Amino acid sequence: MSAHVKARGEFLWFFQRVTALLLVYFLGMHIVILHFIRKGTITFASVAEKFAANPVFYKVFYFIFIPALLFHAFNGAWSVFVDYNPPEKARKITGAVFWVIGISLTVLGIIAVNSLLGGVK
Amino acid sequence: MRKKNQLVKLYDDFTLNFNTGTIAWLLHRVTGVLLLVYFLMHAFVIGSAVHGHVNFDTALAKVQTPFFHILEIGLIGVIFFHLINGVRLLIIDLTGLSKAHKVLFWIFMAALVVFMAYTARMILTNVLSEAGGSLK
Amino acid sequence: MEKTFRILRYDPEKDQEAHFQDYKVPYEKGLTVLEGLYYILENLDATLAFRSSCRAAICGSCAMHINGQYRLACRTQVSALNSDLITVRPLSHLTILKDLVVDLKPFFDNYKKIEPYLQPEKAEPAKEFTQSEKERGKIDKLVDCILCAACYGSCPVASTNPKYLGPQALVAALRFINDSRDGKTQERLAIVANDEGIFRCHTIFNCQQVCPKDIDPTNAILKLRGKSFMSKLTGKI
Repeated sequence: MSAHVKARGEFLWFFQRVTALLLVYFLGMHIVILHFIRKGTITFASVAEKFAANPVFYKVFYFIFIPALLFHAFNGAWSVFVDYNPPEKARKITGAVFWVIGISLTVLGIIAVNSLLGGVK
Repeated sequence: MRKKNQLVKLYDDFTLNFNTGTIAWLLHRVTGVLLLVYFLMHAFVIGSAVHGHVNFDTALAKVQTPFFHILEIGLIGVIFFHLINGVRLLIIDLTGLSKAHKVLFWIFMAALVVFMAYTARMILTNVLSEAGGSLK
Repeated sequence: MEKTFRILRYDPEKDQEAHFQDYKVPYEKGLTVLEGLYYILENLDATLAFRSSCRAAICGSCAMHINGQYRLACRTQVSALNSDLITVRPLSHLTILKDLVVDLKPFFDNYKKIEPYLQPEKAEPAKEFTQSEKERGKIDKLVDCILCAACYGSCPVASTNPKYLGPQALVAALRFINDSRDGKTQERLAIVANDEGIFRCHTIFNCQQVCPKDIDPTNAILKLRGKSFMSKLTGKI
């Protein structure tokens, strides 16, 4: 039996499904809050006001939502990418690029939410 | 024989296996890629919040015209298709009801149509009332 | 009454591109697509190439694309197609050697990768390995596979990624994992649990749709995912 074969990909597969379930709730809420119960134009002040009413909730909400969405999006893109049987080198580069973009966008998102939580200065 | 390019291969597979499974897979893939592209633009707009409220408000004003609000109906449609088809696959994954995939597909598509009618009405009402009109 | 058979022709020595050719075949009750092909071969065009052997859906030689779906030509009744035009193409994702004959080597190479033979762990018993009815029940459907490659031809992932094991090889893997006589369960899970195996499947259900033996490879892949995830969690693979 080929003992050198290593099983991998279980956790990516599992977290793709876990984040999918999380996104059903978070993305649903995000759309309801921002698109359905919208009154007038959205501005920095209007979002800050909404956030200030319940800062802990919104902080926890977006701190889970943003990383979950980025993982789901880039793992999905990775899945499409591997479907086209790219060479080993391209896989390594693309994998690294996806991680870098994913993590930097998570950081950007969290800073943006934080500054919105801080209100108009 | 000449080698086929990837798009021709995709077209061949789509037409030779024309059933709900292939359609759902292709739409799931297309909506997924569209959402990734949308999300990068969204991050660009919302990310301007880190430079203070003036930048944020200028960026957001550009994407809050009636035209963009109507485009949002399409965006929510894309999101909701990806979401509801994903839920279908999750249900099948967890329960092993693989033989029920076609029935589930049609039930969920009916739900999509109902939800989209509601969304379109909601958004159009908002846009019209901001423009001073109404649906009635 | 006559039926038109529109068949994809390709001769590597003459043709630049594959093209369709029409044949008129007299229809009688009970005519199968394979009989139609034999009629063409014997009476109309002796250059037509196709594979077939048992004519009874046992050997798995005659899988091809007939009117919108991959089927076995031998068990497809022309009357069941409800059409005067019968379009026949070879299996996709495999190189055409001539007309309806494709090179099945990539398909069988994938099958070999999962080591499709019994590897018992226990010492060989004096007489034979026994199985209870319940143990045999676990592999009941899975052993029916006739290696016709209809599932492989229908899978869009196999089209773009030739390294993907494909539905048939994964069904075979589950067949040995579920077999009470086989002792290499964890090693087998390790072979299929990767980017070229079960995680390349996007649950498109084409394999389930076309399988002439009603095996449901998609379900087999879902089961393999569950098993490999549990093995990974408990540190067995």
